[in-house]
Amino acid sequence: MMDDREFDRALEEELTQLPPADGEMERITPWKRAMSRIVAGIILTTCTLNVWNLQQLMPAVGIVLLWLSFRTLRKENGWFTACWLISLYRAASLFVSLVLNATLWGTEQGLTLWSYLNLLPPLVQFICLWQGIKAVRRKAGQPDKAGAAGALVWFYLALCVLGLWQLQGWLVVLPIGVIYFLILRSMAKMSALLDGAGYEVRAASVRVSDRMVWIVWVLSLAIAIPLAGIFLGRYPMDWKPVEIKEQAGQEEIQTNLQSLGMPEQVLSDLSTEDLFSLEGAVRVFVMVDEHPFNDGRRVTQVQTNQVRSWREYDVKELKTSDIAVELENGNWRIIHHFFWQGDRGIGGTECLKIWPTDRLNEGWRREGEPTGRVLYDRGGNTFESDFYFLGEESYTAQSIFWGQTYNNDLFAAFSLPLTGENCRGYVSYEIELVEEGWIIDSWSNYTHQVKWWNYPLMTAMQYSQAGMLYGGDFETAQSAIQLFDLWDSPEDAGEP
Amino acid sequence: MEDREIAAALARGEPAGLDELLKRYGPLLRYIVTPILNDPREREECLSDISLLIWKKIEGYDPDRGSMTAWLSVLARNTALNRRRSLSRRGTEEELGEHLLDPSPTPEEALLQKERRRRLQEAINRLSSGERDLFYRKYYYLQSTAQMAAELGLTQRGVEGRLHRLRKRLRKELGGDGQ
Repeated sequence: MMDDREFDRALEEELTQLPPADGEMERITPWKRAMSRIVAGIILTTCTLNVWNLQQLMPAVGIVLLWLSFRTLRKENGWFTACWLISLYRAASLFVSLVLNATLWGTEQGLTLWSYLNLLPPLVQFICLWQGIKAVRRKAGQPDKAGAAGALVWFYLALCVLGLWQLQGWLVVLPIGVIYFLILRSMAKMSALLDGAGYEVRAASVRVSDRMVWIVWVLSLAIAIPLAGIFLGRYPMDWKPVEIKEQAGQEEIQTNLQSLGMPEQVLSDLSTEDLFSLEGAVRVFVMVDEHPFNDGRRVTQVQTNQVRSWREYDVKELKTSDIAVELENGNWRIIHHFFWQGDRGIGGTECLKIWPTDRLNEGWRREGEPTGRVLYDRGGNTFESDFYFLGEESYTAQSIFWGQTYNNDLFAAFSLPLTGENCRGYVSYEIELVEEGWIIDSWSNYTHQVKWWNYPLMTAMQYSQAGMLYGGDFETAQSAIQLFDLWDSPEDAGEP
Repeated sequence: MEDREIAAALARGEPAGLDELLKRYGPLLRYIVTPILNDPREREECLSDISLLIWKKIEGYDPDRGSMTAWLSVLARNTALNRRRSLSRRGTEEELGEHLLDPSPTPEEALLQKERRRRLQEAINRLSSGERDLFYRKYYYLQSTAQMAAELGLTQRGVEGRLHRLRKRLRKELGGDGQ
C-alpha cells in the first residue's frame, strides 16, 4: 500500500491528463473570492431594506464580508491595508451601533453627530479600494484604470451630500437608485477587469479562519443584543424602600375614603401627599377591570345553524382601577391605578397614556401637576420609585381613520423590575369645574411589551404615540371612568 | 485585443501578439509556475520556455475547445513540472514529454491507465465545490498549504485537516491505495 506522499504523487501524475474544466480553473485565483466579497459587502452595507430587521442584518453581514476580503488583500499594498483597517473600525462601530439599538440610547436622538461622522469611513475606504485596484494593475504592467471603483467614490459622495441636505421623494431617490445600480454592476464587472492582473495578488495568511470569524461575530451579536435589551432597554428607575411614617390625620382620611368605597390596594399605594389631597372627600366612584396579556384559548361552540368561536382568557394579568373622588371644595381627583396580578413577562418599558377629562371637554380644567408613583414588593419589603417620565407630551400620530393627527396627552413612562412581585402604580390628577353639565370622562391606556424580541428597541411610549393599541411587540389595555349624570341628585350619579 | 485576435496575431508570427499575451497572462503564468519551482532563476527560465512554447504551439490552441486561461494553465503547469523533474534527475535522464512524463505505455498499461483516470474523474465529480477547489489547488496547481490557507481564508491546520480527510476519502473511493 502506497504512503501519503506516493499517493499524492500518483494523483499529480494522473491529473496531467485530467486538467480541471475551464470554470474550475477560473475559480482558482488569489483574488476572485475577495473581490466578489467586496462587491457583496458594498451592496449590503450601503443599500438596505427597512423590513424584517434587514436594515441591521444586511450591514452586519456586509461588514464582515468586507473585513474578510480586505484581510486577504491587506498585504498586497498599502491601500488595501488601509481598507482592512477601515473595515475593522466599521465592524467595531457597527457592533456598538447594533448593540445600542437594543437600548434606550439607541432610540434617543443623541447619536446624530456620530452618525454623520460614520459617513466618512466608507468614503475613505472606497477611495482606498479604487487606488488599491489601480496599484495591482500597475504591478501587473496593465493600465491603472478602475473606473467603476472611482465612480463609486463620487456616487457615495453625492449620496452623502443629498443625505445631509435631507432631500427626499421619488424625484431624488429614483435617479440615485438607477445610478447606484449601474455602479454596482460595474463593480461586479471589476472582477473581470482584474482577470489578468489579479494573479499578481499575494493573499495574506490568517490565524483565524473565515468560519471562526463568522461564528464569533454571530455569537457576539446574539449574546450582546439580547443582554443589552434586557438590562439597558429599560428606564433607570430610582427604586427605594417605602418609608412608613404616620402623620396626624392620615388614619382619619383613610377611614373616610374606605367608607366611601376606595379599594384598599389603591388606598395603601397612594403617597402621603396624594392621600392628604383627598382630605374631606365627599364621593368616590370606582371602575375596576381586568385585562389579559396572553393569547388565551379559542372556544368553539356548534349550534344548530351556526358555529360560534371566541377567545377565552383564563388569566387576566393586569387589574386596573379607575377612580373619581369628589373633594370638599367641589374639585375632583382622578386616579388611574394598575396592579400586576399575573405574569408580566420580561417587560422592558411600560407606558400609561392618560386621556384626561379636560382633553376634549370644556367643562373641566386641570388643576396642578399630575402625580403618581410605581411600587413593587420583594422579600417582604415594598419599594417605590417616581415615574421615569410623567407629564404632557405633544406628538403626531398616524391613524387609518383620521390620518395624521396632532395630539397632546398625559404620559407616565416607566420600567418594572426584572424580579419583584405585585408591581403596581398610579397616576392622579385634579380637575376643577368650569361649567356645569359636562361629564367626567378619563381614560387610561396601559401599553405593555408582550414579545421578548423588540429590536431595534421601541419604547412603550413610542408605540403608544404611534397610535397603535395592538399588533407588533406591544399590547394596550384600555379602561376608563365615565360619570354621565353628575348633575342629577348625588344618589343618581352612580354607585360609589 | 481579444483572445482570438491575440491567437491570430501569434499564428501570423507577429511578436506584438506574444507581447500582448504575456502582458495579459503573465501574472497567471507566474501564479502557476511559482508553487512548482522554488528557485526564482528557474522560474524565469521556465517562463521563457513557456513563451517559446506558446510561440510554437499557438496553432494548437482552439478557442472553441476552451479558454486561453485553460490552455495556458495546462501548458505552464506541464512545462514547470518537466523542469522540476529534470532538475531532480540532475539532467541524467532525457527530458520528459510535453504532457506526460511516463514512457509510452504498453497496450495493457494504457488500458489500466484509462480505467484509473475514469475512476479518478468520477471521484472528482463526486466532490463538493469546495473540496474540488482544494483538490485542484493541491494536486493540479501543487500549491503549498500556506498559499491554499491564505487564499481560502483558512488556517494552515484547517487546510491540513481538510486535505487529510480528502485524501482518506479518495483513497477509499479509488480502491484503498489509490491505484
